[in-house]
Amino acid sequence: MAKLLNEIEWGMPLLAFASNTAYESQLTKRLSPWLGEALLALGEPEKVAHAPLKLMGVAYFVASQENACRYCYGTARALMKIWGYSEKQIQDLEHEASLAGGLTRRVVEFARKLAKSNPSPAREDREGLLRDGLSPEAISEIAACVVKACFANRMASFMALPPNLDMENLPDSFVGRVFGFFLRKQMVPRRAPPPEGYRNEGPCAAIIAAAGETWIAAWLRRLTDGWLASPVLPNRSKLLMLAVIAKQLDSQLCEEEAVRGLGREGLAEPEIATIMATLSSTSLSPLEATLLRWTRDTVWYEPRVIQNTTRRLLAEVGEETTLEAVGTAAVGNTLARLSLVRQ
Amino acid sequence: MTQALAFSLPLAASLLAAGILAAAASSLKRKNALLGRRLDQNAQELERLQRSFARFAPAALVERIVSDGLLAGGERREVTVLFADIRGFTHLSEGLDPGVVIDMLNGYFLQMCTTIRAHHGHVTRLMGDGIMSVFGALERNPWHVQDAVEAALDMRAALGRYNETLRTRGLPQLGFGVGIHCGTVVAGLVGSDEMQEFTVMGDAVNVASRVEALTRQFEVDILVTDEVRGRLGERFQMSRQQAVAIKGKSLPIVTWSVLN
Repeated sequence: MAKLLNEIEWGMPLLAFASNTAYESQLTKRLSPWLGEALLALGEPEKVAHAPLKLMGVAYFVASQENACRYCYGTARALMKIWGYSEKQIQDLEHEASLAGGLTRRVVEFARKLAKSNPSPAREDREGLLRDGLSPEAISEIAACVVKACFANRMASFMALPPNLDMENLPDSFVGRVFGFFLRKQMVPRRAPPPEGYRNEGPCAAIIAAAGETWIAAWLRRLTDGWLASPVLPNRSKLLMLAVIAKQLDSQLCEEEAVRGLGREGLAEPEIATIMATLSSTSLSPLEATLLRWTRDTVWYEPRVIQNTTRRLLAEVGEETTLEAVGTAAVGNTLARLSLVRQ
Repeated sequence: MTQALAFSLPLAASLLAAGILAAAASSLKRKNALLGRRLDQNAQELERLQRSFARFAPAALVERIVSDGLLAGGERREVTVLFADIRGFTHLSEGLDPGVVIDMLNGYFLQMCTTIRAHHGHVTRLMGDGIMSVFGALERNPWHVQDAVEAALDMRAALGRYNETLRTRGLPQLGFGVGIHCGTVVAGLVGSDEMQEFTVMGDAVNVASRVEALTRQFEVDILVTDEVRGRLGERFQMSRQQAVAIKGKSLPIVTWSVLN
């Protein structure tokens, strides 16, 4: 039973900024380049190769609602209106109980389950989508869309981004009504052939493969490579965070990937097993111990609670490390949830 | 005339049939709209009930009952069970005004339940001055054993702080005993049509309860079983207690008091 927009408790922004306008562009300047680029890419209209366009919008919308992200949910709701969804249609998606059966309902259920992953979607859920006429490629693309929303939701929630009220009010504004057609062309997902020359090679390739040959898969590939190349946090710490998220979600594929990476970083398997069993070890640095404790709370959370926890993390480890940890947790939750689709 | 009649009769019949069809279609449309409205009302009513229910049970539990029909048939889960009980509260409360007793108890429950929740636990039952809580029952939690022990240590600290406030109000201090054990339980909704509650059942629950009772015998506040200790790593300082027989167990059990 996901919360509605006005029911979400949302705290004050994590970071203070010089002005309250163009918050997003000010933020990207304070993030590591890989994270800033990933966030900027989120603002572009989605290129869709296989799935029905509207179902991609629906999947992103309900995933943002399920994750109780006040920022993304509000923005996605406005986008649905710009797309032409009536208030009644949007409410049907939000309440689900009043949604008629069929493919849309099945996609809504699939997206909610994957976003939450408690438990994750079962084989029957995917088979149901196939029976209702979706191709395996389209299902992969919808799954990729949901985990992309999970990334965006975590970034926005952990940093408590203030709701983008300009965007939320746009569809009902004079500009929105007059220029609705142009806004639609600019903002909503569009059909595009699969990305040419896309190669899924490198760390976590087996996980990213679950996103198929899609634009989101290409985005995920760039995101993962940028994340691991970033020098702000040691790779060992990042992979430990990934392993914790994977273990909590029971994502075996992702946990194995993290453990292999940790092995390459010089951490012996028994040591990794101890850390994963107890979230503690003398071999953990104080920073790693702090980060792992925070990381486990990024899998399932109430926004207000995780925002307070993240604020304490900021006070303890400073801005640069906190922002990198936020990005790492967002990537970890994205990869671990995506890998569940392959299990 | 006959020709005109022959022409107009089928026309009239057709018009009549079309009229009847249109009326039927219109009636069907009205009924559909009515049905749609009722469906919406029912869906909203269902959601309103879910939200009301969420005030009386953990949101995650409500969610799973609603979405998965969870626990109607029960689920087997590996969990850690924590029992906490105030020492001698009945005797302590005899000389106090009932309002003060309830106030003291509510303050204590607030401190303890908040701490348990902060460590990913769920309070499943309050029994008099006792608390039963479970770690790992509602969502996957690979660290439920550590969570329970850390919760107990924080409960000890929270009780210390609460006692300070009681002292400033001139009220008696509270002491407690906490027993912790882990194992497989059956989690589910039990009760009658009129009243149901989410609970866990099984040997682990009984043992945790008996271990809590042992805290009085050993005069310690936090006691865990050998199984719990074996899954904790080296972070906690513990002191071994002598093996004792407990009801329902053929062999004596070994327990450990948690120092810090």
